[in-house]
Amino acid sequence: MLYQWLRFAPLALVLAGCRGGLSTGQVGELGKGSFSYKCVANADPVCRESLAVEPYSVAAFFGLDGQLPAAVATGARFDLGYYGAVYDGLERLELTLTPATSQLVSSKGGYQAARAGAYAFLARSPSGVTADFVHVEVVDPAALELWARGQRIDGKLQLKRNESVDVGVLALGQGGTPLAGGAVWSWSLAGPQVAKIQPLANSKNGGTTADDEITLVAGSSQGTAKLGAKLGAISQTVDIEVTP
Amino acid sequence: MNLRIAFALSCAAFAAGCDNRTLELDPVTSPPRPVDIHARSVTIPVGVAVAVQARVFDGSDLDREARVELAASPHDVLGVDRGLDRGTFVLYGMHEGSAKLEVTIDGSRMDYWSASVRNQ
Repeated sequence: MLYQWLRFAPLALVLAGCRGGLSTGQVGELGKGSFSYKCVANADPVCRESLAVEPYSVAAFFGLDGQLPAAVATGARFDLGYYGAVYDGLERLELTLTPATSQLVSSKGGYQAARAGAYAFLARSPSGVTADFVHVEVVDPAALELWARGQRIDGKLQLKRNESVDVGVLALGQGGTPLAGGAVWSWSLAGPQVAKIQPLANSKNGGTTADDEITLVAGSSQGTAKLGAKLGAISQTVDIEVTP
Repeated sequence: MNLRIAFALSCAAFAAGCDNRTLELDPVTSPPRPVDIHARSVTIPVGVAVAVQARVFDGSDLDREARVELAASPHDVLGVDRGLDRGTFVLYGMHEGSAKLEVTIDGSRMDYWSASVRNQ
């Protein structure tokens, strides 16, 4: 069991360092620099703090290999960085990252796309030179998955009395692609008071129950309840069973 | 007086007609949504960017020395930025709508292309 968790350690370190930091970067479409993904919210599944979701199952989609995430959820917040020493003749350009459209992509507190689509982000100088750019795919969430103990919860999650378990949620696009981006989640627990929802235990960044990870704490009595997660109009519910 | 006007008009017509250079814009990146660039027309989805190489032809001969400038009006529909490599530009859809792309070659305004920024 210990070995099973230890094999995630290198990736967990990357994940832990990701929040507020940067991935290694994806070369821009003009090859003049690299673009990196950055989380701006605790609720971004790219920068998880727990191992509720098996890291390797999402690594390829979330760009933990150095690329940008495969897709970001519509309405979710994220940020990008650009790295490149770019010269126009002898002049070193001061480049800032700008979305190609402000009609559909807001830049307040990170980026946020109002509807699904492919959106370009330009590394641009004030004089109107675009040194490089990259596109980010934005996708409407189509389904949610709940995970605990590194496995997707298949209908029911069992806890022993007084046990705590971290639970994470993933938004998936059509076709099952896990989606990046910080969204506002809502969690619910229906049924007898056999467990309660708490902000993620040991969160380094001050977790809340609107994050994509929470800690489920079983009470002292056995019984069943239903745990739900909701993102916009999409929701998912699993059964919780507290056993002796 | 009439002769002067006729002379001036014929000079203007000659000046306009004697430069039969044309511009081609060839995409050098692969945008994630279709971008249509045809003779004197650009259609691009809002939010999408494409880098193009501008090439000037004098008849069928490539004019490698020509200096091309592109500008869009209005400024908030189609974005046009210069690229770092000679003769490259980055076109991007800023807002849905129609625009004109002004083509200037060697300091002389030569042509207008129509541009359309459409929904994805």
